[in-house]
Amino acid sequence: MSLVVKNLACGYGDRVVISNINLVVEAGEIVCILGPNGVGKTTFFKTIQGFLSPKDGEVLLDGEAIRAWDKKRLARALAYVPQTHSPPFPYKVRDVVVMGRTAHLNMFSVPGKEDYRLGEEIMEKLGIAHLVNKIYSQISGGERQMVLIARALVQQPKLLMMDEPTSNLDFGNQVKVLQQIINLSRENIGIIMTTHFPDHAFLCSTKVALFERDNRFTYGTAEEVVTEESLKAAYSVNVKMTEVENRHGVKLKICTPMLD
Amino acid sequence: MTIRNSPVRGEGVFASDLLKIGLMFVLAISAIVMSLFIGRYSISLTQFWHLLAAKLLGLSSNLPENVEMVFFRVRLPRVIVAFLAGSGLAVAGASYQGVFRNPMVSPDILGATAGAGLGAALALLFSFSSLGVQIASFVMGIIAVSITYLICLRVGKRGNVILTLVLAGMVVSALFQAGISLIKFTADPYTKLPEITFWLMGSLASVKAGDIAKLGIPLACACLPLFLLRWQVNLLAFSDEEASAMGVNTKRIRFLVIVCSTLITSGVVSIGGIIGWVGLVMPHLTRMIVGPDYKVLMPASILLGGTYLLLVDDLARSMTAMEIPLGILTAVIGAPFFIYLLCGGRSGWL
Repeated sequence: MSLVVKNLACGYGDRVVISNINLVVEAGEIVCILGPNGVGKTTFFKTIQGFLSPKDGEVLLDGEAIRAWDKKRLARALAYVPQTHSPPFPYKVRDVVVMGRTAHLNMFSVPGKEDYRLGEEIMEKLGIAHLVNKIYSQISGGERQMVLIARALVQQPKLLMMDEPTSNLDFGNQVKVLQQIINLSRENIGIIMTTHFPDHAFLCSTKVALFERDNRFTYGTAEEVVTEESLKAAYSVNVKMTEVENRHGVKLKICTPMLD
Repeated sequence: MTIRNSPVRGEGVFASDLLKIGLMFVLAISAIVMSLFIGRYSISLTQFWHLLAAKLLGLSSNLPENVEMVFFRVRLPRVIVAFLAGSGLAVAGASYQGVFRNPMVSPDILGATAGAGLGAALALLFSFSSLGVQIASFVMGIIAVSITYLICLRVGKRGNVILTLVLAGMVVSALFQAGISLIKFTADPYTKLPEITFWLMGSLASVKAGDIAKLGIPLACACLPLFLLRWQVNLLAFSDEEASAMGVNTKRIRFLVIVCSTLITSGVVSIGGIIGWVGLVMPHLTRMIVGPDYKVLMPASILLGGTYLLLVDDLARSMTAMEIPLGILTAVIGAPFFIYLLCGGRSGWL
């Protein structure tokens, strides 16, 4: 699997928000998208998902332009994990997860036992099997995020798009979600995620795309892209980079903002 | 990582859903049979069996003509139509609630009921045939919904489409209600005005055998697609973008569901007038019993909605010497129940 974004320009109506995006996501890779609010991360996601038509350039999945794909075919290749939310009805977690199977059903059918079985297997794998009969709108934010990941996985996609999967989560849940994201990438799923934490880029990403104001775009490894200078330029904050060693002796960079 | 085989707990869920639907089915059949015995003209159990056997075998029942007429021309059609109307209103309400992501909406929103009401009032004013009343209420119901939809498309390009739709529906309803008032104002106060007024109160008192097909056919045509699309309606309860990312053609499904629900609403209005609250209260009650999954909620709404309206209609025709208009009773029962739901503050349910 490979997702290739070629010279993509995204925007609403006549307005181009961001252009000349070039990046590649291979199976098993995690691409982190960093950048301040309002630079066009969401617009970029919507364009890949086909909600907005590209202003220029194209998106290729395994060499084929996905622009002409119908929603079902797209959903079988590419799953989206939204930020957590609350639906108006008290769906059980099981129902929410199985909704991911819709892309594999025809318009007039309902999910069968196999679909529920797959849903439960994936929940077990993510360590949330105990939530199966809980009401989705009543579980915690961290649990909801995991349920949405499970729902995306039952779509059996090649690529997972995650919109700030760690936002609104406490420190412990952030780490749990990151660990799951890394586990998933080891199963050869490509992942593209937005985040507000530069540290997360060092923790789990293969590549980083930094979106900046005025249509600037940098793409490369975390080491190359996330530097004191680039963060200062992107977010207008002074940052110091330090290194810590993890228990395998691998050096890990962390960013600390410098206040006056 | 390999996926571990786990016991499938899902099977228990299928069984308990089936059990609930089964019980509701038994309840529905019992209510139908019981209702056949309720009424001012009493029919005994033996007479009932004779009538049934005679009809099925094509024989003469040897019973007084009165009994046969009351049973086949009056009571049976009324019981069937009451059940059908209740099923239809509940399914339409449940569907509207799903596609508008709002548990507070009902067939009255979007102007469907008011539109159908205006159409029927116009037809009554001009003394159309009963088929004319039906067609007029279909047409005006669809016109009202189309206006709501057009306003929404024009205003709601950006921002909250759902809220715009609900507000537009309220405005269109008010407009069509004004139209109904105008027709009442111009109607002959000795003949037409009482006819229109009583009809608007909602009643099944004048149901005839022919009404079964008149209501049943459009209802079946609209309920079948809703039943088949029931899983897709689940996904519309989430945001359009999410549903779309899961492979649902949200625009097409929403359009289909709205058209079918409006067809049901106008069908019921053209036969029984404005029978309010059923489409709001019954989906709630059903959701409390079977949960929000439309896979089960749709069939359960059909059964419970039908049973409910049938029982209320039994009350309407048997409680006092003079029949109480059905629409008044559904409001008297529905409104307090709805207040109870609101006060209960059951988060998640509302």
